[in-house]
Amino acid sequence: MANPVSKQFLLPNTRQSIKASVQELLDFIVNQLPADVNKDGVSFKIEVILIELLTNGIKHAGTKETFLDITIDGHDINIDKKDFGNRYQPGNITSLLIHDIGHRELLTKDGLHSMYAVVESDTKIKFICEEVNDDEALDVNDLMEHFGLLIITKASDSFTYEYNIAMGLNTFSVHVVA
Amino acid sequence: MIKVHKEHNDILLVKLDIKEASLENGDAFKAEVIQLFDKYKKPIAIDMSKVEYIDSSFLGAIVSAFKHLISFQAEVVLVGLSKDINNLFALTRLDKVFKIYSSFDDVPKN
Repeated sequence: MANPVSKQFLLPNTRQSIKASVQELLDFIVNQLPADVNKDGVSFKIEVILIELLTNGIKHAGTKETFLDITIDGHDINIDKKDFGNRYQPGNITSLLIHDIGHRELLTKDGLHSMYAVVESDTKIKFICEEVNDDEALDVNDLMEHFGLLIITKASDSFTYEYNIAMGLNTFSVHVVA
Repeated sequence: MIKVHKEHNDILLVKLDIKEASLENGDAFKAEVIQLFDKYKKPIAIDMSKVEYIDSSFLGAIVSAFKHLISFQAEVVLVGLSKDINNLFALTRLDKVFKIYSSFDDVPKN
């Protein structure tokens, strides 16, 4: 079995640079994957995850640069996006960290999905998505218009957010099994 | 960004003339769709076959424009999605909300 491969990328945090950055990262990941992986299926997942991680950074971090640590270990792909920008707290999400480990909070709900945050530690939350399968509950007017968290959560096998108060460090971690 | 292709009695066919549909042009797209609806007062079928890249912000703009038209008993119909964009609509389950066709020829019209 091949040894894990890791690489850190320092990327500009601008709208204009996203497409080129995504392509560079995607090429790096796909080239490291074992030969038996369905690369088309994995490429789609990784591409949408990267697009949304980088777009999220532009919307929320307010920094000029963002760091990505990528590790590929066989079929396991880990992507950590780090920045020292604004604390990520849409809907005051980090206030959930006062709760006990395992506490689960509904973030958004519409006729298609329910999105939850689950407390993993006193600094980390995990995002979970459940599909709503009730056609009668599908009211177009209630549909959410923010899909970034949903896309990353559904395209990955695990998606967490951690905030290191002492360092002012935001870390978004994504795990995908190829 | 949006060019009118053909007006039928009960639907307007338009083409989205951009390769990258993103945070950068989502708000302008929504405003153009609403302007077109205000002018033509009918459902709009949008050909997206030129679009190679889309992000969640633009997806949100499409949904927002759709909601606006629905409130007037009209709708947004999508045409010519690439394989990856089709996959994104399936992932987000928006394929249960929007009518999606391969080409303008497949869109019901009078």
